[in-house]
Amino acid sequence: MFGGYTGKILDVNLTNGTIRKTALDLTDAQRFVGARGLMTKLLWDRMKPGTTAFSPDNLIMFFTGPLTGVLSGNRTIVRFKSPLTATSTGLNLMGHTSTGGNWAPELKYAGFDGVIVEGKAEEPVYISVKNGEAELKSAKHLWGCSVFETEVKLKEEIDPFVRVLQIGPAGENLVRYACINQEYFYSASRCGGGAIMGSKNLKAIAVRGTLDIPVDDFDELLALEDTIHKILRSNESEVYSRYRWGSTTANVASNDTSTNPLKNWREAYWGDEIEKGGPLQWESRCRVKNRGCFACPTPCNQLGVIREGPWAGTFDIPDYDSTDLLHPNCMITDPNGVYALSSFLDSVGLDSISTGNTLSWVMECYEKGILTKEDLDGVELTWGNVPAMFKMVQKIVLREGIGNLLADGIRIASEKVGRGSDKFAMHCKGLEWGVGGAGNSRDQRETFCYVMSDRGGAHLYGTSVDGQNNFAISDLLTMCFRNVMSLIAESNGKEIIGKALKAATGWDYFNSQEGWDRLAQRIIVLERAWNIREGLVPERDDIMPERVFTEPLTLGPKAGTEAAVYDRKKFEEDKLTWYKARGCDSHGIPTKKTLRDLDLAFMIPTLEKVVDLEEEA
Amino acid sequence: MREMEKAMQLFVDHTLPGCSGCRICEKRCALKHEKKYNPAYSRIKVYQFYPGPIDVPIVCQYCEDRPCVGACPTGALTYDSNIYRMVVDESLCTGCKACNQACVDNGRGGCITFHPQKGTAQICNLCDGDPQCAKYCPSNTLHFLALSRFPKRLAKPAKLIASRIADQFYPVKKELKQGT
Repeated sequence: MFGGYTGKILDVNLTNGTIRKTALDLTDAQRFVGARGLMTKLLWDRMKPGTTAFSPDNLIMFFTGPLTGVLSGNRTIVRFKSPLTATSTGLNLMGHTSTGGNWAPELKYAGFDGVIVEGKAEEPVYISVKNGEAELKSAKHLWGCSVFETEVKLKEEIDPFVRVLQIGPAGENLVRYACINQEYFYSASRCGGGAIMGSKNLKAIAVRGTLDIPVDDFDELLALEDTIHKILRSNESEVYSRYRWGSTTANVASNDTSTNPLKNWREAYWGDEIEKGGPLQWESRCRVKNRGCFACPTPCNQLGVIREGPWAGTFDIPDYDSTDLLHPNCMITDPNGVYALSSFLDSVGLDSISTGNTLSWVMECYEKGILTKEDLDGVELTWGNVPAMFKMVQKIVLREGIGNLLADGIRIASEKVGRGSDKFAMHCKGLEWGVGGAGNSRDQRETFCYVMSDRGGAHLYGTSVDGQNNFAISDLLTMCFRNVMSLIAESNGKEIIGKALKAATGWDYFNSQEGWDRLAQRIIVLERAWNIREGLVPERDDIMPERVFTEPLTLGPKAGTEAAVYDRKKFEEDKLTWYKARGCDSHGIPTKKTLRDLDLAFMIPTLEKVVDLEEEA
Repeated sequence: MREMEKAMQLFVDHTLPGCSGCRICEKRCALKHEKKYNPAYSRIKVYQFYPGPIDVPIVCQYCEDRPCVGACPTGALTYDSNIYRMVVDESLCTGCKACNQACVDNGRGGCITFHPQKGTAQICNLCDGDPQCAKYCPSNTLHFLALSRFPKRLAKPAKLIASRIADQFYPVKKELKQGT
């Protein structure tokens, strides 16, 4: 008897409409623990090398971990081949995105550890899961509905307590950075998961469950849960201040240290103007209450409503990333405009990070005359022009005119537009830069993680080797990384999590720092190896936008210092250091020894067909 | 058991519009009563309304007139006035849901949930004096209070509570759909 897992995976083939329940591979579960690790292993096993993102053969997986629905582990992790991330030759790479909310625990309560979807339905469908059973239902009546409408309609149709992951019109129209939403404002937004669902004609997955999750040692787990609750709600805890103010506290803080994007990442400091997008303003003008993900001791989303002006009555939960990429990065001066836009992006199902980056890139092109008013179908996309941004977003969602080009993301758009616009197209491996937790313009250490991440410019990958390990473990357990980071910072968090994992599953995954690091290393090397199988050439593709190296910051505390610009030589050194830390050779490819040490020897024969593997670095 | 010595009726109250919808109350309730990780065993239930989401926790409010007790055809659901608690005798409960229907029909919240496997009624018994929901509520929404201070208090439907939250805070009125 093992606990923590339900032991079943829902396997859906949309092409022929079959639904199977497959058993969880327990050896894999012990090796790769959960969500992020298990899914990457499944991608390795089940996806044919070279599958293109929009092909029906692409898989999209929604997974939970052994602590989901048990501890404050509540994130849904989604993996697939991304239509957005790619090598510099245009081969698609890993897609990873995650969301909080109530969906993942509900899936566990419905008796499944994960859902794998492959194929393509002839007509729009949604998957309805209830207590160990699932069926495909027509979603023709939902096609074209916004995220907000779909959520309510499905709740009316199925059950008021059903939890729904759905896409909006952006996903249906295969906008490459469309997201997957839940309960209005929770979204698995990055890497274009929504577009993959759209390409499969899959509108939503609705889940309802009332089954037990078995655990190995109930009393021990309950005691640990109390400990975690206390730590997270202590005065010192970082998440406790997030609970009070929301994630936008980081906007102001990172502006002060000159690590915020401004004007398409040209600068990193906006003086006092940044306060407009900060939590104090939100609280005094709009905030109503907190919202939280399932069983979280520190619910941190700040729900509110715009009370005046043309967008009065619009609900929003401002987030660090969406606010930052719309507010300073597009230089919007009216905070209501930021909130209205961010809410609108959620309703159509667009990733506000990639959209913010795309719009700021267009604004810069427009300012420099690379794109003219005619090119933009008459929309004058000047800095901070909110009505024009609304118009442009509508065009993107419908893939209309210039929107059709921008809907492919700035990697493809800047290639097509040319004329030097790629030098300020701020993406790594095709994924536009996020800010939260990692990103900023020129802090070498932090910006560096965008290059190394398995999915390009992701803000939730971790900034240092340690940080990446911590993110990897939280993604395995699907615990919120903020909870995990706070536990580690405030207490002996790794030990507590190790114990909780043992209490839930009965298996000893790790009980030491070495165990923690080794497990994370296994996952990170696995991901890199998968990307290499799919065509990644680290030497060629681990690169950064030109702007980082050539245009020093001129505003804020970093102006005039060494940190104002990233030295190219330093970048090459940083890369080698990272390769070494991850057991890779100087070309960025994992060595045979590393693969064997991490129980990944099964990858060697396949990888050898693609690259030369060195025995030892 | 301090409140029992003082001998008065207590109940789990909630403030508007505080609930964050995290459902830690549901989880803790199930852990306390059934020692299982499964919020379906919970006696408290969080409803969602849109636009919002507006979250409303619904739990037995210990109304004075108790229409649920009168509606029970087998006498399984009773009120023990010695300990001020609702009591369900599982051996008598047939899972007919008449109690919850009476709660709803009398304009209350529909505060009784049902065991996901056995179908028997589940109602808040205040965790014998230490309600876990109020204890762990992270948004300071649920409170363990003396009902004597609100003598005529009755449970209310979730939708009514949600619309009061909306009235209180949202300048633009919209028709609230339960989605839920």
